[in-house]
Amino acid sequence: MGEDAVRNDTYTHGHHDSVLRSHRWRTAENSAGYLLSYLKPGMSLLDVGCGPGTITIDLAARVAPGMVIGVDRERAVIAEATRLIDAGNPGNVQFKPADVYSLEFDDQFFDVVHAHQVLQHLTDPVAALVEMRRVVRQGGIVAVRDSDYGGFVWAPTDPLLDRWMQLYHDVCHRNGADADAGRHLLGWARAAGFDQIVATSSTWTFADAATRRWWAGSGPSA
Amino acid sequence: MDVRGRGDSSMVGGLWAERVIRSSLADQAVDYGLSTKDELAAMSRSWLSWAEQDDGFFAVLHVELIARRN
Repeated sequence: MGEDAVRNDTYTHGHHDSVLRSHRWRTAENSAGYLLSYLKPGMSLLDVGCGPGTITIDLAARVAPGMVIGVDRERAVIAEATRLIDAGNPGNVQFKPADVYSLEFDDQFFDVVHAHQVLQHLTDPVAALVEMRRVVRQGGIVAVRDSDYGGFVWAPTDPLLDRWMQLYHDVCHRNGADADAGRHLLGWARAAGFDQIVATSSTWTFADAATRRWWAGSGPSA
Repeated sequence: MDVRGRGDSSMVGGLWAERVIRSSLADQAVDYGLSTKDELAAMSRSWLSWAEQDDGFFAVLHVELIARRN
């Protein structure tokens, strides 16, 4: 747990540009829709594992003038996120490197703590949720969203895509993480001490030429 | 749900067909002895060919929690 765990955690995707391009595509609408109705102007918000910061910036616009902090373990993406602020985005956001297992903030510091597609990559997601819970105020919310690779479906079938899915699971398992995190979130949050939890699910669908090419990566490169 | 993202050409390109051969996932798959560069290249080609099929369908499941601290 704690600092020992973070030293061993491996981000399965890494930060190759093919990964960052999909992260930059993310918005509050397509990635945090379940959270939006809870946000109000003036709320403070921590975005854990913010990556290049596109979701963070959207969330910041919704809680302004509330203070928003985006943190990520990876310094290079924090530098990229900071350039978004420099490009004229809301003045209520800052980005900094941080470790989800040992956040620098005081107890009950934030109204909302958010983490998108983070817990699936951690070796100790319950410890991360305990730490996220520590820094949220009484009555505040921790909002987390993770995919569940076992819940991905596609057609037509292709043995090599089946093999891709197995391989993805195997690499995550080898990294001590769980590619099927989605289905475990409720249990992990309960283990972290939450007893007032609303669990929902949502999907992305890629079923026309443009979205298929984007998801598969055969469109023109930027 | 709506899968529209930030609407410029920079959102296009480079997901799984490229990730499976060029990201940390690819490096780890080979380093861990779980796959080979040849197999990863074949998977990449499968992704590209899937995208060109009019019957191609893919749905991605996400789970989300609102957990309130009492």
